[in-house]
Amino acid sequence: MGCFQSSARKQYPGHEDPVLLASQTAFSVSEVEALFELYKSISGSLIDDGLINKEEFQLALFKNRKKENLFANRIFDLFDVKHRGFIDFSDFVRSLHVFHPNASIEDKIDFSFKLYDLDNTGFIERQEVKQMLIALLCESEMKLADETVEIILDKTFMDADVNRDGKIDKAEWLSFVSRNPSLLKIMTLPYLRDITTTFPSFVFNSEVDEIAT
Amino acid sequence: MYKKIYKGEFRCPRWMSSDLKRFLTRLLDTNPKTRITIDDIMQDPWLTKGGLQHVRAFPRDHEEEDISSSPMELEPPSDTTPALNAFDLISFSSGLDLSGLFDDSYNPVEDGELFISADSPEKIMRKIQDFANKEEMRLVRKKKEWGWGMELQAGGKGNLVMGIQLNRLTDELVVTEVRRRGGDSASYDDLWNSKLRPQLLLIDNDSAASA
Repeated sequence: MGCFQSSARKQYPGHEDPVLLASQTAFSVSEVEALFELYKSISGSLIDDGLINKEEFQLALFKNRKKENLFANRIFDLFDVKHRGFIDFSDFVRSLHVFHPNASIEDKIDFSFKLYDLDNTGFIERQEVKQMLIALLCESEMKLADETVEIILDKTFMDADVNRDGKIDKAEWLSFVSRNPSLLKIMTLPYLRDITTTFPSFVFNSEVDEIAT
Repeated sequence: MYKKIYKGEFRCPRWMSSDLKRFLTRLLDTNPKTRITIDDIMQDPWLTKGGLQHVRAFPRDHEEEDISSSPMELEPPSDTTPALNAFDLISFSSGLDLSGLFDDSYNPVEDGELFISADSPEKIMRKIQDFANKEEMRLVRKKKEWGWGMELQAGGKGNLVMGIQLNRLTDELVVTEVRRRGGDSASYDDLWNSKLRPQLLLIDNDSAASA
């Protein structure tokens, strides 16, 4: 397996052995290879450096490199596991793993908590939820009276903030999500189940023996 | 295995009938020009032999079930239907929809819209039903844990599928999400932006702001 890796590794920093990545995620080796095809196309779309930067991420999501979005930024930051301002292949696969239908609920709940904890304090504060709500209204061009926004926030915190300290901690989030499982629907991408059908060209570039698949 | 798929190499077990083997060979033809078409599939002897009358050709959402495909029953609003909380609303953001990574033709901003109205859910659903009848589209109710879900399906317009989801936000307000789930963007754009949207957004967002 050694010499096949070197060309991919040189052009694609962070390119890990597909067999290793498969063993540590919900993906099969073939699925990791199919994800690599996707990764190649996203990471090479603007700068051919084998890495996904913020603009390339925005381009892939919105078909518009300049489109800024609070939530897409959060996702990017969480995918950028090593906080370097870009996503490498290993980051890509390990982060997408959480969105696989077979990934554990704990991982999904964990990711969603971090997602909404905008300033990474370990708590989802009321002010942060308000900020996210306003961002959503803005992006959808919807208008709500400030009073209505406060009513929605009140209701949400009444339900989620059990100890009434104005913020949602990890345990409260766990409990809240168990009572409202639809909140996790954003954490599953059915596309990931059919990834080998969506990117069949991995067959030509496969680095792995038949036996391993 | 994937290399065999690419080459179209496969073997049929002995218990398969010759009709079935023939059908599979037509399906697994690696040449898209000679491969069996959907119309031919529906008429293939192996399929029709068992009396299979009609094969659905509409794309389906993994998580939802059809409830009814006949003229939609407009249920009275259930008082126990909980309203959306802040995070439910936030979940609608296009920035949290990673589908675009996998689907080149999908654009969460253009292929979906969210709006608030002070209309009752029944009124909105009635307008949608009227629209479906006028445009000769099929309206299918979808099972949802709360709120009301449905799909507008138009086989004739390039298998266009429009998903519509209604949820109560407050006592006065309802949030509606409309999303393209199948078919091409141009047909969706025509049907939604030019035809259905103007009818559903008769009450503009400003009056919702004062509700």
